[in-house]
Amino acid sequence: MTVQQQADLGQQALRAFERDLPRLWAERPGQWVAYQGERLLGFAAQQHELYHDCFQKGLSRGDFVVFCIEPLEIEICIGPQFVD
Amino acid sequence: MHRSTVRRLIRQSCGCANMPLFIDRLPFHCWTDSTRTPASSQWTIVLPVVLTEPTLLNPPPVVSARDWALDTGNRGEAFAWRHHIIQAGLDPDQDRMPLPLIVRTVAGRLTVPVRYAHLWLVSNVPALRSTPYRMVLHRGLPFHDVPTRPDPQFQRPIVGIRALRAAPLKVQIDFASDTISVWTPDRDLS
Repeated sequence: MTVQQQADLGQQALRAFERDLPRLWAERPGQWVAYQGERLLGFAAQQHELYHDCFQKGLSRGDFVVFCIEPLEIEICIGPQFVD
Repeated sequence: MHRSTVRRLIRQSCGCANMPLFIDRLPFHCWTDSTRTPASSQWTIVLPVVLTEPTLLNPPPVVSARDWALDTGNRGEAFAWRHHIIQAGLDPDQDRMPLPLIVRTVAGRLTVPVRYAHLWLVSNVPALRSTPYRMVLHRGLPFHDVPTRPDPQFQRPIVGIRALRAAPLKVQIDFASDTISVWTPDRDLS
């Protein structure tokens, strides 16, 4: 798989996760979920367990993406903030 | 002595029923800022940490532990420079999360990549030193993706407040003795 194909698969997984997040957050908060593109592969309580579940299905690290089931944050703050 | 016995003794000595002492009065890192005239003493609260791939099932060797700055003003989980990832033996261009992160500081905003990784806290208690404590980064490790080598004092990798809460650690910062102590949730590491 090329780097571009992996990136595309990652973006598909992200969109699928964003789509499913409200339901997953209600049903399985704090668990981990894996996607291969748009396909949901499975859940686990621990991130490293989920990786190995996926490896046992014959997948390689670049074939899938894992997310923690919690609200997505796209911004963090380091240090004090000045408020206008 | 069996490790579980050691942990029980440590629990008893600190009076923490479910939180064994993991880092015992580790001194702050004291250094000299020579960019000032005259040079001035500075202190950084550091924790010994091993950065690894997130796939490890067992604790890593602790020989590669580095000092990460404890920063409760960092509202994220952690932050590093590209160099720190390479230094840990990881490829910063592999295993990136599909979503970059915007880092907001007093100096402005910066969009940075995020790599999947775990942190492992290393104990200074001799009986626990070989069994570091996993700190899962739920949102991965955002990093400043520049080729330059970060300043070893001013640009340390950072452990932020979310990682401490998620771990969840008990931390005592003692400014009377310039030391930090850390208790971890009781887990059978034997």
